[in-house]
Amino acid sequence: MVHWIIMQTALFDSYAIAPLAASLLVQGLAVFFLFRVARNHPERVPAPIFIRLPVFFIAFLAVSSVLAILLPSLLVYSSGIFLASVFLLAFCVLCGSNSRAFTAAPGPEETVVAEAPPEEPTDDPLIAIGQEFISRISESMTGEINLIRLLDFINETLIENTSADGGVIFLADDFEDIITSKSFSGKFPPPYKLPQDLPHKPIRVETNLRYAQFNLGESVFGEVAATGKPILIENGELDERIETNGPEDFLKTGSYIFVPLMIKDRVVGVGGIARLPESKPFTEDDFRTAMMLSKYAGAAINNIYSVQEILEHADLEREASIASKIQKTLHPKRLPELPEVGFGSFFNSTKGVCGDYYDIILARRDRIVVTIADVAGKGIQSSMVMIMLRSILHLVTNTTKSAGTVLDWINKGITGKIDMDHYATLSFVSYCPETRTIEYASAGHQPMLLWRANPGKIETISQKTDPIGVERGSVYSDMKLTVSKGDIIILYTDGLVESLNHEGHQYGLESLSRVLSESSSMTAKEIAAEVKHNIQAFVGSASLHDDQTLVIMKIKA
Amino acid sequence: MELKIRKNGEVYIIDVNGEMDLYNSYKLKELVMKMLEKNVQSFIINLEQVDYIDSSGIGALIYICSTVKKMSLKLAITNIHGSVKKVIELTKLMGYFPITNSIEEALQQMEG
Amino acid sequence: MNPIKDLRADGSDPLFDKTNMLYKEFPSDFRQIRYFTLLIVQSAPLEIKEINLLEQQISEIIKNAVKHGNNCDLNKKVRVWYSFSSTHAHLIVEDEGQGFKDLEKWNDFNRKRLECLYQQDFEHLGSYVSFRTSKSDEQDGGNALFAALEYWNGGFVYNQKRNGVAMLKKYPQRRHGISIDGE
Repeated sequence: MVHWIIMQTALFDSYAIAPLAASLLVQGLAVFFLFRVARNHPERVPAPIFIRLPVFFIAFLAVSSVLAILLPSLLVYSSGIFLASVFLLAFCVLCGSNSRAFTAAPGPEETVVAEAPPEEPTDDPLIAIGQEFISRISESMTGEINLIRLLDFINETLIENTSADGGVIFLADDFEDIITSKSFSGKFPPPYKLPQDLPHKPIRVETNLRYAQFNLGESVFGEVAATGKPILIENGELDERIETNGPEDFLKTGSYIFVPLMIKDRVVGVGGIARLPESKPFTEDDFRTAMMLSKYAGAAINNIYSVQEILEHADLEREASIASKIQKTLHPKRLPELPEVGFGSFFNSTKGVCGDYYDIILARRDRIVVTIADVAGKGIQSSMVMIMLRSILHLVTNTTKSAGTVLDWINKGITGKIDMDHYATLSFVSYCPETRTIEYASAGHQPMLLWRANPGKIETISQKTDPIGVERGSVYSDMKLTVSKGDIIILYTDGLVESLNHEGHQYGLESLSRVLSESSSMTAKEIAAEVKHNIQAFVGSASLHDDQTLVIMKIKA
Repeated sequence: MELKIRKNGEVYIIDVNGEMDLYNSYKLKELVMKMLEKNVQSFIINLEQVDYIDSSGIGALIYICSTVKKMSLKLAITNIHGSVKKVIELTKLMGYFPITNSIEEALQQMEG
Repeated sequence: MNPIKDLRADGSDPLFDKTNMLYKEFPSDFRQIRYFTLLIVQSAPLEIKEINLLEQQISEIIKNAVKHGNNCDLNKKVRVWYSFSSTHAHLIVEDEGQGFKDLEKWNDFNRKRLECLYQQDFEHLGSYVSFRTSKSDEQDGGNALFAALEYWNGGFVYNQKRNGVAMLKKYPQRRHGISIDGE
């Protein structure tokens, strides 16, 4: 007791009481502000426990401060600090481990905040569905356009929002006036007459509906497609528009709603939903819902069709441009300049065709190879054949094989190897400057023209052979010819001689021969230019249907 | 054109792959005749991988159908699509051929 | 019910007018029938090809000319005039043969066939699914002309000698959905 009084007096005397009293004040303020935060900004306070622990902490500090004033014992005071620190520790531990609690577990204060918007009008759920339709369309368009997935979604949505027992979606054909079932779900008693020979088993009936097809006006589906008017049927058994099949229970008709899916004034499909006889019939509300949904559906389908069309067109353009690029890549960039022979060429490709190919290959030291080909078909497919042709050619011309054998190898390398159109005509000319001999072989190609400087006349050299790709066993043989200085070899494709003018006349082999005869003294390049001008003058502005190719080799020495 | 055979229970399914044209349609005819000699009772000719058929192919199918009918066996032709379907429609033989939309349908028909 | 279509021979039919048509001729090589067809159909715009239906229909006509008209004689030619656009396909095919002698028989046969179809009489239809003459062989489908009459909706007509045939197909503009105006 005496110690106490001495200690208290000491406390007062040493002014140590002042900070203690001040700390009481601070602790009180801290609690005040803590509660202010909790009241005004409940969203910042993750959970009530986060209020309680700090409060206890501060409370213990306060209590220990008060006790320290009344009972100035170091033990009391330090014990109070100790307990307060325990609460502080607990608070910190809770902060770390329960960080999830920050975002989850809204306290009772949270729901008050979220309820802010007033009562929604009844149409709003349909707006939300409309939004989902739109996002589903984007989904359908990533990867490949999937109209069926969209139809399945439309079907499900119709069924859900009208509490139907089953639904089916028919789509109109692009060219004919028929509608075909494309999406099916749930239980749907057929409202049309089933085929006589169809056994009345659920699985058979369902399969029939899954693949059903109707003409305009045929069955209630066809009627909706023809009129574009939705139909609500409350009792199928009593309605004359519904055909009943029977007598099995699962075939008994209940209530139906049929809605047209429209793009502007065109019917692109028909949706049907059904309720079984044991369920309550559809109401006018359900009818309105279905009609509204069908409008969203029509818009969604319209979007897919538009995108499909754009993609198809872009696809075609791209394919044509790829084929053209491949063709350009495969053609020789420059005609070689040699002392023994001079070269000239004229080439004009037609967009979307790109089937002609020509090449000059100096594979062997003693041989000059000139080749020309016309690949049948167009687009990427014929590009592939052209690539195969060129690869084999460049490989084979390195050997000492004769022209006929070369064609044979090419034919065997292509026929039966690819599962698509793989035909080409080909002419192969191999010239040996030392002996001035030409080896010529053709696979169904246009005849070769040979201008003989002496006596100044054009010879037509041709063979009756199969084009490449007809049969593996096709036979090719070579012809050997000798040439002299001033002679000219001319290879061309049918696109050149069959070029039409406005009157529908073909340019023809005679015109080509005439131009060649007249310009025979010029260089190969000049002759090619002459032919080019002559043809362009002939054709005028008429459009071309095929590639035009001309290759000229003139013997200089 | 490739022909593959598989079995589903007692039913033989012929998967035709490629084009049925004037140069190769006889192969299908020959294969079916061989199978008939081996007493196969139920066939499904699956044309899912066929995207081209001409009058020779139709002729082969007609021959197979009439033979099977005469012998009272079971046959179904399934998965016709694209130009194959169009050609059969043009010849108005959709009702003459035992066509089903899927192999499942055909199998169901043969059981029931 | 569609009016029963007949094969007819009328050399003065406007479909035989060859102005502004492209032209190709081929030897009567049976092995190259699909190649010749490809050479012709490669000029057609993609939208009328219906994948390969146009090619298939043209190959039938060329096959008839090569096989039945020219007896696969390599020395005999098949001449083809053709013209395509996004809304039409026009073809004239001539061979050097004696002409389609059994044209009337074919019409009779087809009439009976269509009757069976109309009455859904599939039993009797079995006898009318393939048109065969004494010259037909195992490979002949006998169906090509049935399909051709249906396909060439703008006309299908033989010339007077019946060794040439002209045909026209009109394509509807592709559109989505069924129009309900006027219903």
